[in-house]
Amino acid sequence: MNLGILMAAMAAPKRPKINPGLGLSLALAISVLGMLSVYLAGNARGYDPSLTVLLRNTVLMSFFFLIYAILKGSYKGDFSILVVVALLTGIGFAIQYRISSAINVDFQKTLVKQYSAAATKKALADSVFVTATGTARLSDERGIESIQHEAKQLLRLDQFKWGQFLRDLVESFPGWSRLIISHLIALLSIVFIIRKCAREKFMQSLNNPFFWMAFTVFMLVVFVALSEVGTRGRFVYKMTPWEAFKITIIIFLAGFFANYKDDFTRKASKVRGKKLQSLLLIWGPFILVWLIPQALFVLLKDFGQVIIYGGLVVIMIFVITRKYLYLFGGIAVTVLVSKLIFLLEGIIPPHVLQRFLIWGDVWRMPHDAAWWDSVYQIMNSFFAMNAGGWTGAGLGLGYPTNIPLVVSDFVYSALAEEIGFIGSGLIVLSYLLLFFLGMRVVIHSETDLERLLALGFTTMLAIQVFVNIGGVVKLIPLTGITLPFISRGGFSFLISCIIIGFLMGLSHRNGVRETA
Amino acid sequence: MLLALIIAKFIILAALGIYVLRIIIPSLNSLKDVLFFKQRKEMAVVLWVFIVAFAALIGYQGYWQLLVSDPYFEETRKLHDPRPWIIEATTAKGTIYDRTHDDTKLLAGYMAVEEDQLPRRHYPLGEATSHIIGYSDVERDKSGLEKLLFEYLMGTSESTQKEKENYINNKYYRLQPRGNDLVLTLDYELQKIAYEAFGDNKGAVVAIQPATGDILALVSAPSYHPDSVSVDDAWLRIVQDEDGKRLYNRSLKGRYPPGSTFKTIVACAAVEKGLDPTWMIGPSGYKPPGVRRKRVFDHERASYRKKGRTWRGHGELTMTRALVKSSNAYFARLGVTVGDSLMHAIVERFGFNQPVQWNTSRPELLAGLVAFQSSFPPTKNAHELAWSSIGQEKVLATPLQLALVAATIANDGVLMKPKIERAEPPQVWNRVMSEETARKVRQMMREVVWSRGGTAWRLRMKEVEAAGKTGTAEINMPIKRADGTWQKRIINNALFISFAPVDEPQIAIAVVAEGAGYGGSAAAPIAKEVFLKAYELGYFDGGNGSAKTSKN
Repeated sequence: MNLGILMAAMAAPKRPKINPGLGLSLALAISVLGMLSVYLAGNARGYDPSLTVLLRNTVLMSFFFLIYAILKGSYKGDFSILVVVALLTGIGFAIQYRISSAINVDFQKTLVKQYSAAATKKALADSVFVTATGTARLSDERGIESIQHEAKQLLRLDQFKWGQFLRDLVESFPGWSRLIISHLIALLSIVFIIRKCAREKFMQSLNNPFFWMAFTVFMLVVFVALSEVGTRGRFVYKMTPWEAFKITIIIFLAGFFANYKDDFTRKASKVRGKKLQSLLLIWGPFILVWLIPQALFVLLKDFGQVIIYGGLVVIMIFVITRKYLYLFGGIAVTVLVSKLIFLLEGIIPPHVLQRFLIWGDVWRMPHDAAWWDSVYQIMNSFFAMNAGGWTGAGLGLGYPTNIPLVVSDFVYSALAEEIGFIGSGLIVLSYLLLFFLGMRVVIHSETDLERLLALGFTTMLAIQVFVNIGGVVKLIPLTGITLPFISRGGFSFLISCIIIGFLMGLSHRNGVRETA
Repeated sequence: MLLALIIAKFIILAALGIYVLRIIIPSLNSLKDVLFFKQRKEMAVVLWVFIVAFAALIGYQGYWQLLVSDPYFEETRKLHDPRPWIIEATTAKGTIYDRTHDDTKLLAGYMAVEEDQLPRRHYPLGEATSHIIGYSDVERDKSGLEKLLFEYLMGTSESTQKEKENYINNKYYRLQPRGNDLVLTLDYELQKIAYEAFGDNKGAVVAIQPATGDILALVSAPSYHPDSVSVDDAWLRIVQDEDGKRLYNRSLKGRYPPGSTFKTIVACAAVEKGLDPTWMIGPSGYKPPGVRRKRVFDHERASYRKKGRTWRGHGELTMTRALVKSSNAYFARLGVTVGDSLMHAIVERFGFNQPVQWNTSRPELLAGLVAFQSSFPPTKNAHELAWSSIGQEKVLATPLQLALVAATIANDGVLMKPKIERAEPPQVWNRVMSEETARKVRQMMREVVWSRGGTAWRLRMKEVEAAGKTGTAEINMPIKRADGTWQKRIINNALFISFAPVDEPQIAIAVVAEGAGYGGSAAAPIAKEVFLKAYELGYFDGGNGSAKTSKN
């Protein structure tokens, strides 16, 4: 059957008409189906998924139809980007619904605390006699009251009541208003950016690298100055504001490379005899503007951004200059630096160094409590993945909630446990599909600026996905990067939506040009 | 709703698959030239770099998720993976019933879940069953059946009933967090009365249904309460009680010299050989043949001497009379007369010198339910044989083994495999002796209780006609003094094996009470209480009526 479709598609024209309405409906259906599974599983398991939240998430998902309705008439570009984004967001809603509805998280934490203490004690020889000497510290109180209470909640299977449902809905609606509005704003920003991209004037304003550079650096410096010490720059609502500057940095890089492309590709120096000087003339400003944000990210101790920004620059330089040295040299240097980072002990912050050490060797001291504390997160992620197996535990049937930060950074482990290797592998493939769709925009773009912009935004998303999932599966060291569209976080969702807006806007320009 | 959801899932997934294929194929189509390096080679390289990177992600994830077999990883998971803990805390484990399968007589279950009560593991008999049922605690792990049959009780083992009943093997059907129930052969009331009758004594009681091998009671004292395991102070008290060894299951792992109770086995061997000698047993006891042998004296000699009287010997003794008076000299001589080979054959058919063969179909029970083996080592000469015949020297038996001896005699000479689960069909372990022999020995043991001067006269009761054999084993016990030095002291272990009723025995009991004194005075009353309770429960109603009427 697939072969038939393949053949039909091969025979189809270059850009066949897909039905975005159908695609969005399917994404909505998958999301609702996932949440219903969670609801069923939760009721049987004893945690308490709320139907009102299910309804709310469905409404949030259906905002995609609104975007589609607004764009339907005027948009000439590729709708499949929006469909894939809707699909990923839908899966994100399902898994977030599952994680957030597990009200027994506290109970689990109590359990885990107790058992971990017992496990470490058991790891010691003759634990009974260690306890029996009486000089050893007696274990903490079990807190039986709380366990009783929670266990009661766990085994309770509530009956559905309409009145209660409606009352919950009305009561919780004000609390959701911020979420709904921010979601709506994020989705509408897609429309806004697409409309903007259609205008020449906006595109010209993008072609102004030094303005964007100055803007970025200035704002970054302001944020670094304002952020509290030791909080790694977390601001109001725990958002990391410089996520927004990913976009301005891409705009700057694209503009910069588009304008000074010739200087990069030229083999001989313009000014004969003054090779060093001419080299400095070209590379000087670039190194300057590349180093400043990097230095700021290092100052903010946001290691993930360093990787993303570095990777972005490497790829863009490679595309401009077509020198393989830059790409593979960049990759080689990154690998080498990360392997030799222990030499920098004392210079880089300890938590970053520790991540590198854990990445290098998880099995350093098996029964050590301090070791266990340091690998707690990654090992729990492995336990979760390992419990999933091929087909997974089933949505709502796993136990991923003991992983710290499972809602944002480690959401992929939860997915891997609950929908298994196959399901989570398909999600990785969906991201790859999104990357392909972006690259299609890149290839069909005409001007250097548009091409580099599209390339920047596409690779930005792809690197982000790679860095997040790579950290979770220990392919690369852990970073604090979220998984686009699936991780919880209104702000990062907004940024991702703006990126998608740019991609779709550029796709729209291509579409307009091709039809013209 | 569930079925609809599953169907919907497949339909939607299929539709989505087709739809996404319709996105993928044109996008690949338009990237075809680039992917194969026909144009825009730098883009092709970027594409392939990311394809490889994403493939590496999937591959690496596959390694951790499916293939990893690192010993360190396994070890760490065993120590730290919280999933088993969470599953255990959120699953209602199966109830353990006694043989009546009655809801009011649970051995382990959950407390009645009222509005304000917790669903917490509860052991109604507490200390009486803690050795066999075990406990279940966060820090101190689990023990007993709670540990051995954990998977079964949780319902997580493969091929449970629930799983078989699923018409689609779907994960969502396996949701109800409820484990499998277990019905044991133990009797709630007998277990309770046996433990209560024990009082402050140390030791064990084992009661067996002779015809089936059902273990009706398996009590070890002193014991501990399963609930107190969770309380640190109480646990300290339990493990620090070096005298009592409360965690030690004496009924299965305690090995005691069987003393005079072993004479029943000698009697079996003699009857089997066709011997019924009448011997003159004088005050000088019996001297085994050979040089420099220690004489075997009757126990009355010492007690007479203590009272300042002179022991003049039993005079003429038949085997029955010798058993009634528990004459050491007679049975030492009888043992030597029977001979080493026949003695060993019989004793080993009784189950000595080999591991206990449990009647169970569960491999985890076979492996985990450890009962130490009783030993009757080969005898080198007549002296050792003589002393072994009266249950001294190197002969050791567990209370379970003693109960099996009584049960075999009661069951017409057929030894049944002991079983702990009600559902198992009875299995024969060995035929130890002929039916005729068993009947004769039963009559002898009846006389021990009922005839004049019988050592087990305390077992006489009007409700049921019981038979038994007392035993008193002297052991040198090193006792630790307060100042830390050791002192040897001779203590008397009281032993008692019995069954009732004599004609069609329904229950066989072995009692061991460490350092409690004489078997007749210390151990027999415990057995009597169990018999009386069993009578109340109607265990003896099914017989030929002699249970109620016999009063001689």
